[in-house]
Amino acid sequence: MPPEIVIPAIDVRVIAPMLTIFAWATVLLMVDLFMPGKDRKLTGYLALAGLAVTALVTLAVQPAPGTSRTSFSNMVVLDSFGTTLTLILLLIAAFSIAISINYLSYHNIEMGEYYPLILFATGGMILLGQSTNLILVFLGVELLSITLYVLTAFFYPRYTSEEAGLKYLLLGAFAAGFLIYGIALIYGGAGTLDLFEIGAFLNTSLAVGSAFPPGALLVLIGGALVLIGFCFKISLVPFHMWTPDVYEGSPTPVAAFMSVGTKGAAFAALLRILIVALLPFKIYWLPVLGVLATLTMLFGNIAALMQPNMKRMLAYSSVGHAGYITIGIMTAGTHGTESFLFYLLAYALANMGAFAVLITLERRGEMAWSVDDFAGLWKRYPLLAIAMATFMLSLAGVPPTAGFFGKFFVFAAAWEDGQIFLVFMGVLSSAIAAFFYLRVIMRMFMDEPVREVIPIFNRGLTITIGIAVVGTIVFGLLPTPLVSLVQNSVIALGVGG
Amino acid sequence: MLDLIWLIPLLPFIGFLINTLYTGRIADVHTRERTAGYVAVGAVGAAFIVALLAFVQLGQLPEEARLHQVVLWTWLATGSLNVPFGLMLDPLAGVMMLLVTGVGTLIHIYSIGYMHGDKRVARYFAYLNLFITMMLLLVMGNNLLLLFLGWEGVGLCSFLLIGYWYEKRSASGAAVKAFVVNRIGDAAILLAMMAIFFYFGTLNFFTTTVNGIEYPGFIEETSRIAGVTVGIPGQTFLIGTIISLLLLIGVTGKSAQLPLFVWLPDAMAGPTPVSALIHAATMVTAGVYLIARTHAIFTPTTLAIVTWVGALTAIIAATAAIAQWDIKRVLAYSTVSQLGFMVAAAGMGIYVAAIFHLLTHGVFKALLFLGSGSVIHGTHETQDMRRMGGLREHMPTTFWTYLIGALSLAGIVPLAGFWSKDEIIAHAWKHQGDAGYILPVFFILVLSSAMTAFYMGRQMALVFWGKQRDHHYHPHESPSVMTIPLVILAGLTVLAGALNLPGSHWLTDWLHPVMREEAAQFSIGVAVFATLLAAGSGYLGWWLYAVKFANKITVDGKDPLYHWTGDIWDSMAAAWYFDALYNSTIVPAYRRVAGFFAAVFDPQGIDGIVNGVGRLFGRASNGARTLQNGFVRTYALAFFLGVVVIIGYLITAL
Repeated sequence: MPPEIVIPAIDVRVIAPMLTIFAWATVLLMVDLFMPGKDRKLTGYLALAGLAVTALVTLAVQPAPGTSRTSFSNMVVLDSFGTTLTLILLLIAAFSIAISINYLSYHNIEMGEYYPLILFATGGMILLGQSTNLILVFLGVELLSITLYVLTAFFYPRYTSEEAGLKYLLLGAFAAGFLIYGIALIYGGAGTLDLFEIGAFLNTSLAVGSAFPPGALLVLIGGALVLIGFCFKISLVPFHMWTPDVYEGSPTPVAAFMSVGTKGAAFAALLRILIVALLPFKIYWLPVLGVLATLTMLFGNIAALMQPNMKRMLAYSSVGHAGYITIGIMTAGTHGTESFLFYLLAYALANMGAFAVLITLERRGEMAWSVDDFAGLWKRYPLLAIAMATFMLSLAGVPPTAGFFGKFFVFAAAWEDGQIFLVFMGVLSSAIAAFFYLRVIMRMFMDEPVREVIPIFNRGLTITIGIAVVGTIVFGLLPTPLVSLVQNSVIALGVGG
Repeated sequence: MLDLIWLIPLLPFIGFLINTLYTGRIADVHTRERTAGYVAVGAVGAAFIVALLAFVQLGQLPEEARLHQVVLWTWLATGSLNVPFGLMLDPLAGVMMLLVTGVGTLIHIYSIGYMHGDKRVARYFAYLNLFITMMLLLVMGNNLLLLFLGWEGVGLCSFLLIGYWYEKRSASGAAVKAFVVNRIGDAAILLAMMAIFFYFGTLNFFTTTVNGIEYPGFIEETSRIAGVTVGIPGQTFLIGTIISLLLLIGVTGKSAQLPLFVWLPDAMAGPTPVSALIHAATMVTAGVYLIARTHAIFTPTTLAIVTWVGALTAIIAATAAIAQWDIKRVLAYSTVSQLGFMVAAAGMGIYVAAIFHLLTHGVFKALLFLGSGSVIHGTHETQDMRRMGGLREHMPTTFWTYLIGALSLAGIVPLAGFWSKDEIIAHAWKHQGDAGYILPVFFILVLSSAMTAFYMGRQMALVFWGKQRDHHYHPHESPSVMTIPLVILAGLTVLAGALNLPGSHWLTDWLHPVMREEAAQFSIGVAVFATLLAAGSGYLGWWLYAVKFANKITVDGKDPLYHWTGDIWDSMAAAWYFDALYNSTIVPAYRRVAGFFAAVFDPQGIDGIVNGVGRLFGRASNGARTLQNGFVRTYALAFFLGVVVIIGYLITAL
């Protein structure tokens, strides 16, 4: 009788979305290799199809409400939170590809591997959202980062793009060092990398006596380092400094992709770590995140105030928004999760839209992105001006846009949680932020054109802008369906179920 | 059909959208004008048909089931405030809705002729449609907030339409005046709404259940505040009194009662069909509707005040109407006066009579306004009655229909105005023992109605009898698109009294589920007395101006009666100087405060703070940008410092 080998039960459904997107990306690389001619638009369309298929797979395997599935020795979880997040990430990726298709050929940087890279990065993001093991979290971060280093430097031979890629790589490696060191410390302290088990370990070890056990201390320091690693990814002050340079240097669609996709996924992973593993340490991480969020909101928005370069302004604005999302993360456990998802979607629509408008005005061989180009846009391209105004209002959080409800839910959750000071700082910094968003609107509607700018329209851009405008306004007027969706997206707090 | 009542406000709204977004872009002037008119008339007409069907179906339900609510969506849900966007249809909303869409349709048709050749006519019809939508929301909203949306919406449309010819300074001034005066009332309504929400926790009129969620209503719960008082020790007020007084202030604004009636005569600067629709038949009656709808809240104290407000308004406006030369201003003051009758009726607790008079007045006053519009149209924009005269030969249709309207307003048997006005006066006479103030109110109302007959006799004589006194124009009858609505309205004026004849009292029965009133008692003595008085004073008015002093009336001359009355006549012409009073007291004080804010507080205080803050953050922003020097080593250093601070904090925090 042969010896029995115990193979842990594998539930393929749990990783089905990732599996689909990775497989599609790999095959797409091959297909692209053998594709004749220089035109690579077909690769882009095939990548879009891949995203659609992944979305269908995600919907097909979604867990019943209130339940979750774990597999691979509890390293990956599929819960309704992960499903909703995956769908949002796929939407972001689809927007990014749609606005890239003509951009690449227009700027003579059309290469087929661009699209599989976006797919790989998206897969990494999905993995981040679903992993319940620190090693997998690290894997997700690196998968995402390395593809983004390449994408950042994709604007060959523009030197700012190369510089941005290199900067991102250097600082990313620096941050990854902290992240992996933190993971090692946690393992040293808790003896496990499983998030559920870390949480259980902390609960038991903190409950034993009044003295702070050394294992827990290691986990605390390790957790702080992991947190810092993520702060880099989501660009919280003072770990944000790469952001404006990298966004400015990278191709605009990549900047758009990074500003919402990377952030969303990193926030999701951080959220899961905080509430599954490190919840017993809430008294420690809460003030740290509170101070970082405050600094981020203030600094991001203040730095954006006098910024004449639209791309850098949007970069700083994305730093500011990271602060607001952090407030949502901090109140995880009450309404933080749902406000985070709502905010992410509202922000994704408005920011992708704003970047798409920026692309229509971007000209070959120029690196200006000046706010002057928006002057008088209303008189020449009223629809484009209205779209941009919608995005600016949503980013500023003015009703009746989705951005308003995003901010409203985040602040309401923080208020219920007793974080009055954070709400105050959030509202104050929003008031500051309103200035530079409204300045764009004012330039568009009240000024005369400074120079002749002819926008470039194509199907991908138009559809992206259209969907973003409609979504921003519809979710601003009727947030209820979206609210019920995010309310049902709960994070699995335990194994199975 | 009852579940489709949302179509009724939606249809005119679609008309509004088409005329705003599409019609205005048609290049050809004639096509544009025709399209705008047809779209607007079609939208309102369709709404009228739907309203009629819904009304009939409502009538087929058993009496106690005649309350149908349709909640379309949850409008607002924050904390304990849960407001549905819901419409309702009950007998009261039903008759209002028919008046609004029915008279509205006729006035829309009339407008096609009246506004012919106007260059902004698409905008005119769009506003008119929007007005109908808002008025329907006002009468059909199933909660106070939706009513308030309609209330503000009709106010906006009124503003837009009074100032429709905004090139005329008087028109834009009148629009602003109407808007500002109404704001005072609206603020009171807002306060009343807050108080109602505070004490009842809901803004819905009646309880309704949608998808398992129960929306409670406050009308059924009014017993909850019975006897509840607020105030300082020694001086307390019933909550019900406070809320209803606030509502009354709102009513005095919208329904042009004392002391806020001053905007309505000026509002005649708008196109005449607008005066007919908004400033006579529908919008200004919203206050009466509001009292009828929320009458459960009104306490005896407030009702006494309501009665006095109505009665005094009735007489003051009636005296003012006597001394006007402008054909429309006579009708405007007359409207104020008749609204006073309705409010007084509501104050005396006979809501059915108030609604009855509202309906008949809506019909015959629309007729009179449209008739005056026809006169103005036929005399090339002449409004001064001294320049008219002898028009009955040139404008026969207008003359006969106008005569019917005038007789109805004067209260001559058997026209509609007689029955509805008699019900109010008869009630006051029969119930004079209910409270000490009823008898004086009775005399005031009788006197006002005698004056009503007098000024209508005067107007008929000045406009239609005698000789044409100004020969700068050639009078002509208006086109049939204008006269047909006149004829229809005249027919309705003859028939509308049948709504609530003594003995049949259909309207009382119909409104019974809402008002729970007994049928009014008919008093043959009062009826004969009132009719004789009306006929006598009406004849006197006609005889004085058509026979006795016919030759003394000259263009820009004084009124013949001025010789005997002098200053009193001037006071009446100026509506007892209410405008002058406001202009010398409230307005200058308001101007000074506004001037202080505009000249001192705003530039130095607000702007100073704003600019200072702006400069501060601008400097901070430039500072922040210089930190960003582009060197990776700086970035890594900042990063590392962050790490040190965070780890340091955690270690010390242990």
